[in-house]
Amino acid sequence: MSCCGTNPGYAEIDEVSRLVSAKLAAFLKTLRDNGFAVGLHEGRDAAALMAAGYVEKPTLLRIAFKHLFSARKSDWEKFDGLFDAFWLGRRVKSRSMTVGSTKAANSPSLKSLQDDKSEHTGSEAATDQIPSADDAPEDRAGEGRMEGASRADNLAAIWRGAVATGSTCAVPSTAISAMAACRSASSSDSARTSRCVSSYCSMLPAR
Amino acid sequence: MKNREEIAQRLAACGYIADGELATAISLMQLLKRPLLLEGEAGVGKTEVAKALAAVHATELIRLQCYEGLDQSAALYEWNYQRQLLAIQAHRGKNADAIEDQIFSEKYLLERPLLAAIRRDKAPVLLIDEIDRADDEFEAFLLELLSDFQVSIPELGTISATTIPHVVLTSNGTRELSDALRRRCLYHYVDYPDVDREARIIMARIMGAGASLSLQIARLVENIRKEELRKVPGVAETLDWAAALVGLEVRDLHDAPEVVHETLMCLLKTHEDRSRFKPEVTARLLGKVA
Repeated sequence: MSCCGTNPGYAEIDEVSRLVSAKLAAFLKTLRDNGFAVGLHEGRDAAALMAAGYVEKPTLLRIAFKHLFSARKSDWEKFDGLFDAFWLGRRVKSRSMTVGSTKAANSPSLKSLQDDKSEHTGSEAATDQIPSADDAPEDRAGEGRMEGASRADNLAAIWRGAVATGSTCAVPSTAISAMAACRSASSSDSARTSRCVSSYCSMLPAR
Repeated sequence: MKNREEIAQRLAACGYIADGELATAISLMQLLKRPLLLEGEAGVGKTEVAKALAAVHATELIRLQCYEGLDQSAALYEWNYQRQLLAIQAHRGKNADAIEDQIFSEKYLLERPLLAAIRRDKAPVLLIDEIDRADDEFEAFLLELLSDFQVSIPELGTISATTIPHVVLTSNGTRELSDALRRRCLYHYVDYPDVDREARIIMARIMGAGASLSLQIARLVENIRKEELRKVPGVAETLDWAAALVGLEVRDLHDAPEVVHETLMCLLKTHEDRSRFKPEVTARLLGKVA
């Protein structure tokens, strides 16, 4: 299924775009539910960042999203926890709701990717516990441990898992390679991804 | 500028030691063409970011210092009234419409920082400093500029940016800024640097400050910041103090405890804080510095 048209050759990119877009849209909703003032403009810019290659560098993606979505010090301080809770299934200290973080994206719970005994019970998960070392999959240590963002380095691997196991549609071997192809093919492909995300974002309820 | 490592290196070459997050914020500014809002305590180096950015781009820094009562005429444009009056006198008796058209033309327009920033051939760095000091009305007035990079002048119409400036806004957080303004900007919270970065800042900015002394200074300042102070010293104060110590030929803080104590005036800017810091307090904190 294509959300941006039916041109032959774009099917894979469109499918990845759809999955990535849905995932991102769910993250935007999570941020909104946690008091972030996130609008369509931010969603579009987030999509542009992912299409520009930040999705391949998860540590940078986390920092970039932090700059993009934070508007005040309180946002700045809780963003990392929300990012970890949503993308990495890591528990955070402050109460945060990761609404629709997985089912909306038609992908398995990121927590379940760490643990084969999938205990995911729904699309809404309250994360209000103090993080512990046990919560994090240490075997996923990324290449960069600076700025406490090492877990974000594993986002690329999670993307692959989420896409590979989460869709009944034909999907490319890895989301990352397709995103890279999307980015390198032409600027119009990146624009397609951005448009997809904008389209998904617009379906979310406004605050 | 492509990546944050390159940005950090170029900023360092201009004397600004940035952390990875700030370098990323600057790269995003350029990628997304968005203003950057820097928030943080006074003296942590927010304004210096804009200065360093201008040096990195080898471009002009246009600064708008905000204050209570700042209005459009001081920030955007003003008509040159004296010159207009002279023109009216000179053209007395001529068609009134023609005179009006003439005196409300570019020739009689005085550019102020915001207008100047969007009419440069080479994109300048526009520093809107201490935006929290300006009124709500001025903040609302900025929205058009920050989102569309255009301004409206009733007599001339809408003026769009020739080049999009690199906009940096700073705020000390003395007043809550509107969501509308915040949403137009990328956000970065500038905190006090850690010991390692502060030591590198000292070495980069103060000629003659060696690694050992810089590290000692940074460690002592970090300990001083943990004390209950009315005004916590910022990086600017640290640099003043380091310059004073280097000027007094101090090579090691432990060798000159009296000098250390006497020069704390560079760091402590209120009578209350100064009187709290007895020599014993200084000695105690100095003892924590390896």
